[in-house]
Amino acid sequence: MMSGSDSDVVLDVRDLHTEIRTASGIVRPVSGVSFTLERGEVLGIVGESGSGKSMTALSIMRLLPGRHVKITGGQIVVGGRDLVALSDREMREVRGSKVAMVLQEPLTSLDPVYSIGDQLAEPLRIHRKLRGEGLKQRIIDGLRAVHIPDPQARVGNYPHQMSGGMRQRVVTAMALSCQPDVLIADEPTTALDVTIQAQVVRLFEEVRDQGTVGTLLITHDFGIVAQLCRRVAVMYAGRIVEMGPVEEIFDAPRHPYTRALVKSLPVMGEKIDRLPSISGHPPDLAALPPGCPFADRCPNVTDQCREEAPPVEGTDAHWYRCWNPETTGD
Amino acid sequence: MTELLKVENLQKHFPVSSGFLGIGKKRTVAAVSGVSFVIHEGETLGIVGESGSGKTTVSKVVLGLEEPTGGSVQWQGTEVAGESERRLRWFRQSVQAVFQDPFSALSPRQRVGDIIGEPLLFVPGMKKRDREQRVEEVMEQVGISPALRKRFPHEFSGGQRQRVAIARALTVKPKLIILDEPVSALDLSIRAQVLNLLKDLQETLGVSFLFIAHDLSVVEYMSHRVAVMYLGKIVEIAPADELYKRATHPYSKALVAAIPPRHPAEAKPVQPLQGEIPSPLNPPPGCAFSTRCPMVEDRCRSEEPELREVRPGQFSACHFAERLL
Repeated sequence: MMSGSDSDVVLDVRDLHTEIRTASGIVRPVSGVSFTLERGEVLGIVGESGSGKSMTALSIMRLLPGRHVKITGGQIVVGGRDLVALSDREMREVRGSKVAMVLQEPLTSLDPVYSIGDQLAEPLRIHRKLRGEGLKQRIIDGLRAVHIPDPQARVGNYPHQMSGGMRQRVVTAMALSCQPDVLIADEPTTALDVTIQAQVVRLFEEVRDQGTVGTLLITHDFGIVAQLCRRVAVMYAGRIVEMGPVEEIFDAPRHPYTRALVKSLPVMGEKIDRLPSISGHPPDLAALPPGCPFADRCPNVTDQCREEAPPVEGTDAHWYRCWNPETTGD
Repeated sequence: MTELLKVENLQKHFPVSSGFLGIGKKRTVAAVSGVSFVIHEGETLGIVGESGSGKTTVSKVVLGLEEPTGGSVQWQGTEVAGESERRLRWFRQSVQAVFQDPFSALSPRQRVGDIIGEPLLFVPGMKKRDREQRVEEVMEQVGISPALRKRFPHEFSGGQRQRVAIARALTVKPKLIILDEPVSALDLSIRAQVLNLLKDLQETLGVSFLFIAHDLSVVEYMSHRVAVMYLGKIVEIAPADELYKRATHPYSKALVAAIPPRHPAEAKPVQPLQGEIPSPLNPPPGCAFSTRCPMVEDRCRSEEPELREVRPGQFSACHFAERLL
């Protein structure tokens, strides 16, 4: 099911800027974010709350909450078209059909008064113009693909009749129903129990291995990234501070923030007395310092870091924004 | 080691009404059925379990916020379950709690100094100056400058608020602090700070913790022993590192296996446990885990396994625990 385009890049985000106008000034939750996503890969975006990872996702979907939040620069290219330049009407045709999204809390993304069959039918009716038996068959196939047991009987169920794990499968089935090129999953496992989380991770592995869709996985969980992703971007204060192949991010991170995050995680079966921790707390986006936003918490900080924003260093495959990066021979 | 808390055969049933407007058969749901454990001085006992496993109900009963349906809760040899509020005042000072969400746990209208000092208002004969001094002392202990005591909670970050909640728990010098998911609402870069603070406090003050969480790697880091709960029962209780290396209950084994890898090189295709935790309204006969267990046999569906010692210090409620040794 490979597409006919010359490369397999399904999403190309270039220098994306999103701003929020607030009473206390302009906040920039997405500030010059660039990356590409290829078909068949899972690209991880890791960050803490306020890092801009969810805002990046909502910007790509053009689902920004309210008129005070706007994309102010950059491009989001999907299938040769820049989504930023599309009208609302054109965007509605893209959303769900070319680019689809799975959210953290499956209960809020399902409508309690419609059966799941009805909800699965909606995108197929609108985007694929399916009706009658053909439509029903596609819905049942979709549910079967995400391992809903007994899909013929389940189509008539309402969301409240399903468990959390089951709902997350339905939401995923809905997102995949129109065979989009890009699937954005925002913390898809966070609200779930450990064993159910493993089931959903397995589902995303299957989606990846089918190779038809590029998945942008937004998470704060490095374990899920290690399990699913080939490449990962680390966000801090609205920008990607480091991006590279997943092994290098774990073994040889160059940005001090990435390194500190990876090291601060407790590991099962490894007895350590104290976890290495990061001092301070994430910065206030409304009052960012002029230089590097991580400067106040950084062990490698110099005067230069506080005055000047760090440049992008490294290679195309593994780059970072830092004046005093970690050495690789660690 | 001195035994601080001893919980024996604890039962907690909640009534549920079914049918329209609650008319119809009255039923009960057993949130906790037959839980026993002890906590020693200076020890951390971890409890892990998924939602609906009863871990929070256990903590509420221990705190005296819920009355047990059956069983006993003993504090240094004295029965405290079902005792009156007045008689338990001494016990309330011995056991404190810190909850998951530091945003809702602190009153937005109180200054943090007052929040932290509040438990001391109930200490008979304590002077205002002593109270203020104690507040400053605990603020230092949790790493918040006492100069900030006039500030309001909204002026603090999530991690600092959790420190305030910990300080409040410490003011009355408790012997046991119940920590119910204390870091799950916190940002990644803040979690390690708070976990380390808790370890430091235990080292300097000798306080015991009942550490409740769903994240097994966090529980393992914090705990000396870990109890795994499933559908209102403890299915395994073991020293933390043993549980990780050699779980002797198929459910604990599945929980350990479900932890995402710590490194991409360790990523292997996930073999998730099938199905979901059964409804406590309608628990399966025999072993509660039999509906999802990969090594289930006929006996499991009829005969409920007892929690028994399968290796020194390691207890499992599985008929076939020996197969996992």
